[in-house]
Amino acid sequence: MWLFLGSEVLLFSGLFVLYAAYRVTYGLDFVRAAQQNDALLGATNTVVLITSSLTVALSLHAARIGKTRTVRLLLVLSCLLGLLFLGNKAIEYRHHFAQGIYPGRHARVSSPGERLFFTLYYLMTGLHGMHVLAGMLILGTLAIYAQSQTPEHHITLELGGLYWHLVDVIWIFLWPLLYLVR
Amino acid sequence: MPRYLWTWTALLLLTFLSVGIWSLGQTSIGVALAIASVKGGLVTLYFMHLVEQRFANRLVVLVSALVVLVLVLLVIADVALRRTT
Repeated sequence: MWLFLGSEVLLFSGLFVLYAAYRVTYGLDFVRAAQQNDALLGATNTVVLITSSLTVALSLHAARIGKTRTVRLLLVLSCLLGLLFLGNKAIEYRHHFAQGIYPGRHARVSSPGERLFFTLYYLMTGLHGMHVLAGMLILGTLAIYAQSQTPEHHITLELGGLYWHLVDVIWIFLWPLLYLVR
Repeated sequence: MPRYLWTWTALLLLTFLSVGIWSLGQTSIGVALAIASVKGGLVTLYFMHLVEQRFANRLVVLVSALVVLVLVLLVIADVALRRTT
């Protein structure tokens, strides 16, 4: 599983590398586009994902001591937090669309640096969002079959948890790069 | 169990720190990424239990992180030192 997570890291690092290359090439232009992102909304999403990681970790703890109902409850809660995250992203995307900033088509931003920033923004948050969705499906399935996770055998929950935490770690790096730069 | 809550608290504090630094207008991407690395490290060590895992798993994480770091640094060096005249 750790090896799989390593491969996911490599997947995203391709996009991080693009970000670094364009940041160096376009400098201020590239960075200025970040100001159109709502840093506080991004921060809220960061808090949401961090809390969802907590609930997933707690659910594993509950499985280790045999509390199936708590496991199910915490996993459902984690899913809901994931949904909240995606809802926030949808709101943000709507704001951007309202300003004519679409993936690949930018009505108002003019410089190539700004355009590239938003292209990367959509790519990175889009790919990450798909991972959040996949994680929610995994956690949801685990919630339905929570009774299968016993103190002796809870490896599935552990693996699903690892995936979700990785999605959180990736966002932890995405957030400053896409929202906090000036 | 308390370990999870402490980790979560630390993560939130670091997030607020980042927001605070940002709102003061003092952002440097280096500082932001350093804080992010600490947060990522906390999630990996405690939520993902890497602190309890065998060395082989820790090695995978270490190598992955190093690969990303080296990749990004080399690309930055490449692009920054290009002369396009």
